[in-house]
Order: sequence, then C-alpha cells, then structure tokens
Amino acid sequence: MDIFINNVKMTLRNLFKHKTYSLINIAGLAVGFSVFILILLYVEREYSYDNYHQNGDSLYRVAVNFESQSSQNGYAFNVPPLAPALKQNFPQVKYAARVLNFGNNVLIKYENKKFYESQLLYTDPDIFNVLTIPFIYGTPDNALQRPQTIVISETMRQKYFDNINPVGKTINMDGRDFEVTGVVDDYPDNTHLQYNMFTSIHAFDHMPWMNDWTWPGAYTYVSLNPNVNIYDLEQHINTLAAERTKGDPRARDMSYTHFLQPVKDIHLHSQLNYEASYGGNRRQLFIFTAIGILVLIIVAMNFVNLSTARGTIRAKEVGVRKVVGASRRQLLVQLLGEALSTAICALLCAITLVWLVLPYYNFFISGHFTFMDVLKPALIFPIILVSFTTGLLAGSYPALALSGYKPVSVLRGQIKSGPGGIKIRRVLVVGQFFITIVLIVGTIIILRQLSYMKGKYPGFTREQKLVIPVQGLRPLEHNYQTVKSEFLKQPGINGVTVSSGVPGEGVGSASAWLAGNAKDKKQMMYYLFYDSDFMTNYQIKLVAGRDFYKDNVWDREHSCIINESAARAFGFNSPQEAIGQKVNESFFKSKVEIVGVTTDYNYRGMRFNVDPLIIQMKPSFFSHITVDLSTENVSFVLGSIKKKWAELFPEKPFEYYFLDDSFNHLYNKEEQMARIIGTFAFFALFAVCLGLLGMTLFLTGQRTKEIGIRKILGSSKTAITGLLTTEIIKLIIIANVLAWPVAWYVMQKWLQNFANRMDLNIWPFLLSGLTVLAVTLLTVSWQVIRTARANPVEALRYE
Amino acid sequence: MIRLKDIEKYYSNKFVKTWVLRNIDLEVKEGDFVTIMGPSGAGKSTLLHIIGMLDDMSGGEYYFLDEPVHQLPEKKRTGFHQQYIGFVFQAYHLIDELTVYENLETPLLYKKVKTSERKSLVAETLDRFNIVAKKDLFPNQLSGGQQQLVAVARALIVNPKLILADEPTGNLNSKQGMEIMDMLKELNNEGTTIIQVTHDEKKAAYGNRIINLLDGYIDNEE
Repeated sequence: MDIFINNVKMTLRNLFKHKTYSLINIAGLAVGFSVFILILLYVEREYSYDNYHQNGDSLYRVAVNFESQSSQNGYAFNVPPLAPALKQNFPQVKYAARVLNFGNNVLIKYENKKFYESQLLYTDPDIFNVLTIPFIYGTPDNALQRPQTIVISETMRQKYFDNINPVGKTINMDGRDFEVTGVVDDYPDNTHLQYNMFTSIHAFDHMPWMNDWTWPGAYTYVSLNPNVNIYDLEQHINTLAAERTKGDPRARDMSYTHFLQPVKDIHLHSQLNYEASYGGNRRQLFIFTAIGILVLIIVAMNFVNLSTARGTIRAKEVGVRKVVGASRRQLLVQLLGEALSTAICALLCAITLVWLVLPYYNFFISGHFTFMDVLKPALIFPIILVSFTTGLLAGSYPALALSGYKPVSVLRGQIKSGPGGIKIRRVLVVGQFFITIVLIVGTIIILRQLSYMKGKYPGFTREQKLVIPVQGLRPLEHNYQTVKSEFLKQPGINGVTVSSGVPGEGVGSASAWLAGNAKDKKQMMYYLFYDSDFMTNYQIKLVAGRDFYKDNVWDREHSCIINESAARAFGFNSPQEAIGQKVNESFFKSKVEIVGVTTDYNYRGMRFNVDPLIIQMKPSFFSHITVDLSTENVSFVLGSIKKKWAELFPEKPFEYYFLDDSFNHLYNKEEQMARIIGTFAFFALFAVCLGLLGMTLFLTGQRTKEIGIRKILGSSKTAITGLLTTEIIKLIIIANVLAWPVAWYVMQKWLQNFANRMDLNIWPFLLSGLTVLAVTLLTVSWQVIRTARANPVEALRYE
Repeated sequence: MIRLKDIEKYYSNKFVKTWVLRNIDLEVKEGDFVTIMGPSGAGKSTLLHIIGMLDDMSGGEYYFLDEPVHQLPEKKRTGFHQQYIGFVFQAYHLIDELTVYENLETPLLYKKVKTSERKSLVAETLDRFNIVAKKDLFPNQLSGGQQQLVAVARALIVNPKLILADEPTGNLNSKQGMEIMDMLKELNNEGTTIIQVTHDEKKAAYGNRIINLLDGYIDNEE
C-alpha cells in the first residue's frame, strides 16, 4: 500500500516534471482513444439493430426467393396470404403479422392541421405481439381490431394533438375518417422497420392480391414457440406454398423458396429487394473497425517509442532503485502502473474530446449519438478495457526492458538507448507511416472515384433540371397534358416532361421475353415509363428507330423502347434488328412492339452497370415532373411554378429538388466513408507527428553533445540539419515502398464495386507519400534547426 | 564475511577479450575497513560492483556469509541487497523526483518494513545525520555534500552489515569530503564493514587495509 502511494506520487511528479513529454504522450493516446470510441459508437449502433425486441431470438421475417429459368430474385416482401396460413397450419408459429407499406405519403388532417405524412404501415394487429412497440396510450390488444382505426407515433401525437391523450379522437386520412386507438413510442434509431402510423391491413381484404400466392407485397413477421427447428419449418412452409400455387398460371415456370431471417440480422445481413430500410454495410463496418484498431496501434507505438527513447533517463532511477533493494517485480509494478496512469489520463481526455466533437461527428456521419451513448455499459466497459489493455501492452515493453537492465551498466552510463531500442523504434515508426500512408491513399482514391463518377457523362444531361415528385395513386394519369402545357406557358421554362422516375431512382423490374420465342428466353428487365418529351429533354440519344409519337394512343398501348443492353440480351446482333420485333412484357401482360433503341445511358447511377431496360409510355405510372429551366433567374421561375402548382393541385404541397443534387446524393454512402476515413487518417497522421515530435525533442536533446563536437570540428548548420533528418526521410521512404502495394491492392478491390471506375495511377500514392514527408519534416524541423543552431559551447559545458 | 576465489571478469567483443579483473583472491572480515586503490581502469569499480552483486563475474567463486553468490538466482541476490548491503556512489544517485524523506524511505518500502517502524527509522536517521530540516527538499535543492550525506544515510537506513562506497568523496570539496569520511569511520567503529574505492591517499588512510589494483590484478596489499 505504501509502495503504491509512493508510486502514485512518483508518477504524478514525473508527469509534471516532464510536461512536454507527458503532454505528447497523453495527447497521442487520447487522440487514439477518441477515434476508437467514435468508431465503436458507430459499430455498436449497427450491431444493435433490432436487439431490443422481447423474445428477440424467436422473431423472424419470412422472405421469399422467386426463381425462374433465367432469373432469381430475393424479396423482403412475401405473399399476403402467407401469414394467416402460417398461423393456421403450424403450431410452431405463435404469432404472424403482415406489414404493408406502399411508400406513398398520405394527407393527414386534424382540425386545422394538415400535413403529408410518410411511413404508414398497414398491419395485422398481431404486429404488436411480434415486435416490441411500447404503447403510451391505448393497449395493443384493442388497437386495430376494428376497421378505420389508427395507431400513431408519439411524434405524430405531439404534432397534431399537442399534449392531450388522443385516444378516441378522429383524424382524417386521404379523405376518410380514422379513430385513434393508440399512441406508441417513436421508432428507435436502431430498427430496420420505421413507422409513423399503423392501420389495419384488413382494409384490403376485398382486394384480389390479398390472396395471391405469387405476388410478394407484404413483410411477414413471425414469433415462434421455443425449440422450433427452423430448417424443418422452412421445408413445411415451402410444401404449403407449393400446394397453394399449384395450377396457378401466374406461377408457371416459377419456383418459390421461402426462408426465415432472424429479425436481428436483417439490418446487416439481408440485402433483398424492397428492404424496409437502407441496410448496414458489413464491409464498411469492417473497414471502420480496422481503422479504429490501426489508430490504436499507432498511438500504442508512439507510447512505446517515447518510453523507450526516454528509457535512458528512467534507467538511472531504475538502477538506483535496484541498488537500494527493489526487486524486478516491484519495479515492473511501478512502471506498468505509470503506463496505466497515463492511459487513464488519456482516457479521461479522450472522453472529454469525444464529448466536444460528438456534434460534428453526428453531422459527418448523419448519426444521432448522444454523450449518454458513450457512457452506457455496452460501450464504456469495452472502452475502459481496451484503453487499459493498450496502456499496459504498450507499457510492458519499456517496463520489461528497463527493469531488466543490470543496475551497474545503467549507473555507469553505458546504456545510450538500449541495444534493441533503436531498431525497434525504427520498425515502429515505419509501421506508423505505413498505416498512415495507406489511409491517406484510400481517402484520395475514394474522393477521386467519386468525382470521376460525378464528372463522367452519364448519357443524358442533368443540369438545370427541376424535379417535382407527385404524391398519391396514379397522380398524373389524367391531367399530365394539362400540367405540361400550363407549366410550359411560364417564362423561363424550356421543356416539361413526365415519367415514372428520373435517373437515379424509380425503376421497377419484371420479366419480358421476345414474342414467338420459347419461354426459356425470359429476361429480367428494368422498367421505366415516360412520355414522348423525356428523351428530348434529357438529350438521350436513339441508336435505332424512333421516339414515341406525341400523345399517341397506339404507342401507349402497343409500343416500347429498349436500350442497347436489352437489344443484346434479346439476342439481336444490332439495334436495327430489334426494330419492329414484338416483346411480351409482364407488367401489363401485353405484347408490345419495339419502336426504338436508346444508348445505354445510366438510368440507375454511375455505380451500377447499365442493365437491360424497357420503356413504355403509360400515363398511369407517371409520378415525376421534370422541368427544364433556362439558366437566368431560377428563383423567379420557381416562384411562378409554385403558384401554378397551387392552382393545379390545391390539395398537395409543393415539393421539388434539382436532379443534379439528387443524382449526386446517390454517392452519399461513399462520401460519408471518404469523410470518415479521411478524418481518421488525419488523426492518425496527427498522432504519428505528435510521437515524432516527442522523439525528436528527446533524441536531439540526447545528441546535443555529439552535435556540439561536430560543430567545433567545423560542421555547418546545413550538414547538421541533414544529419538529423536523413534518418526520418529514410524511414518514410521505406514506409512508402511497403505501403503502396498494399494500398494499391486494397483500393483495386474496392473499385471493383463500381461499374464505372477510374484508372488507378501513381498520383494518389505520390501525393500521400509527399504529404506525409512534408508534414513530418515540418513537425521536426523546428526542433532540428534549433539544435543545429545552438552554441556548441553551451552543449559541452556540462560534461 | 566475503571470500573471493580466483575471480575474473572480461568483456568479449567479437574476437577480442578485454580483461578487467584476473585472479582476484580476497577475504574481508566483518568490521574491516578496506580501501581499494589503483589507477584509472585498474578494475576497482568493477570489483566493488561484483562484491555488491550489481555485476556478474566471468569466472571464479564468491562466498558472501558462506553463501555461494556465483550460484544464486537473481531473486536471492536482491534479498542480499535488501538485507546486508548499502551503496554509496560518487554521483550520489539519489532519486530526483523524491524528497529527502522519501529517498530515505524507499529501501524500507522495498524491504516491506511496517509503516510505524519505517517512520521511526526514517526519523531516527534524519536526526542522526542532522538533516531533519531538509526532509522535504528535493535533491537538486541540496549541495553536493548534503546530497552525499543523504545517500550515506539511505545506504545506512536498512542497517547493512556492509557498505560499499565508490569514490564517495570524488565530487565533494575537501571539507565536505572529510565530513563524509569521518561519518564512514564512525560507522566502521560501530561495527559496519566498509569497502571503499578511492584515488586519494588521505582518504585511503581511513581504512585498516589497502588493496592496490593494477591492470586487473591485485598488485599488493598494505
């Protein structure tokens, strides 16, 4: 105990006596720890998705694989009649509930409040028995039992009802009255199924698709009884589904495989069509975790470097302690204790730092983390564990080395920097530079790839295009011609076109096959619907045939345009061959004639390949208006469009965006990743430089005598500066040589994700190498120059 | 108390063996005050370090209180330090970060002496060396002589049977040097065995035996 107090005193005095050293050491570790904490926050959140449900281990979503001879598609949706059938036929299934989300906005009115709302879920009442959705008002058992009832989220309640209990009140949704029967907590950040309102799915009971075993349209969640064999249950479900689809013409040549996904795993492990929300990216998580660990390694290396470099000074004290009777064990306890104290100080600084930067971090990664998240047990314990371990591991090498010296050699001054010391320090410094360079190269290449994608011509023009999405069911089917002509009358508008989607969003998919061909030539196709002005306005080029004729009724029913990929997929040798051929399309189950073939423009964004596309002119699908603005006075034109909108659609609020922005938003994930990797690369470089600064301060201090002698012998300042910096330049060059191939390999792999990718050249590598070199030299130069200019007599006086 | 038989010490450097000590036979009895003299590089300090178990020998046998030191593991040797041996160096070697009081306390802490006993031992020693007023000062606030006084006090606090002093007065002026030597003499009179290394004939005269080392051999004994 007394030794402990003595050690603590000693540690504190050392801390304050060598302020620069302590500051550098603690700051370095603190930076590493903060990076680690921030990354851990993110990673933990991703892994915590849907972990909060009660009986979480027995919750599954039933998804389905549709397989035809030529294609295979996994759907997060399942067929609507499945859930009731499951509950009826399988005792293993305790509850089963469907969730339908049409993805459209609904107009909610209460008294004088009126807003568009999203995330309306049509569900079975059992959903509240499957997923954990706590009720604030009302009870799950009674909610949604009667028709025309609705359960709303707490946010909705506050928006419409202020502070009253709304149960029993009536709100109006798209013109129909609904009784509020419950208020539930808002959905947490870490769920894949976001909701605002629930209403009963039985509203659709009369619809034929509610009994269609071939149309996947509803998420199906089940809660199983204990000890159910999942594999067996899947087999039984598939047998049942096969029975129900037998003889159904729509199911011909298709096979359906149903499978269960644990609800917990959906966020990170499921990437099916029509997922309820953007899934997590496990590879990105892996990269972040790797970066977190790398930065920790860097700061641990700093710690080792500084401690061993300073070991010569500590060695004397350790020697004296040995002489007065300290055993190696007692010394180890003292030295490791000091390392641990440094780690604790660093951890406290790191937590403060995290508290300071958390708002910016949230902004950066579009997260909603609070400081309390850092302090919850699932995080703070690993954080403490990792930082203590880092401190102890990093402290153990210098501690073992120091306590192992023979006291006599120390006291005689025979240890200059420890025999293994210099070599190990070099290896560690190279390691640090290596990691930093790889991170910087990664950042540069990600950024370049993004700007490459943004800059590459996608096959259509996207400038000055104002997009107005129109909400509702078949919103433009009957009035799109009026809308177009009214808008065209406004000044500053060059063109107006309507479509089912704009580039980057809104494509559907279904199969199609050439008429007269055997059905085994069925192709999966992307579908788009637009009018005869779309290709002109977007300047999409035709390589064969013609555009749709304007407002032509025949074209609406009997014509289609395909892209070059589709022509190839159908087996035509040239686009011209395709013209006049007939295609069976499965969207409307009709036979249409190919009248034109377009270039392979990037209708899904530059990340993707251009897959076969079939375009039809079906007004029932039109839901986006694209307005071509002339460049001058955009705000004035916007004003007049808005006014016109209010006349044409008095019920609907005016929403718009510019295509340029939305098309670039397709790369949000990549941009976020570049920002994060870049930030952490910066932190890594900062930590490395901090460590180098400490080392330089110390080592030049140690070489004062040598430098003094050299100067007396006539060495110039330049020569001495060179002497002090060649070593570090050598190490940086070695690190570059090692890092480049690794970075090249990793980034080459990453680029494989993109259909349109830049060519890797030497520049990002050179740039990173030079950046590291420049920053490092800047860091050490001040101290080096100061040493080189020092008066040699001063240096030698005390010898 | 100490028996050295044919002790040798050399450093090998690739192909060359550099001899530091050869054929050292020496016996020191309890209560002796031995002075080791000799020119620079004769091996005086090395011999002292080997006797103090701070350094290994390359060959020969060393018995300390009839225990064969050359066969002992490190742990046992640490035990000997704690129990029997105190060191005094030319460069004092106090711990800069600790006060006088704490410097004196350190050997007792490592020896796991109980708090109450430790406190009284430190107080007693401070008193005996007349440095009570200095107990809260740090080494760099003391003169060289005072620092060496603390160093001697620290060596003595564990009540060692043997004090090894490596040029204890080398960094001191003559008055301070004499004071330290008087102190050592007094300790010797009280029964502590002392082995000192020095260049100085006058300081050597404090001892009852003088061993002259030359090029690693014992040249003669007076």
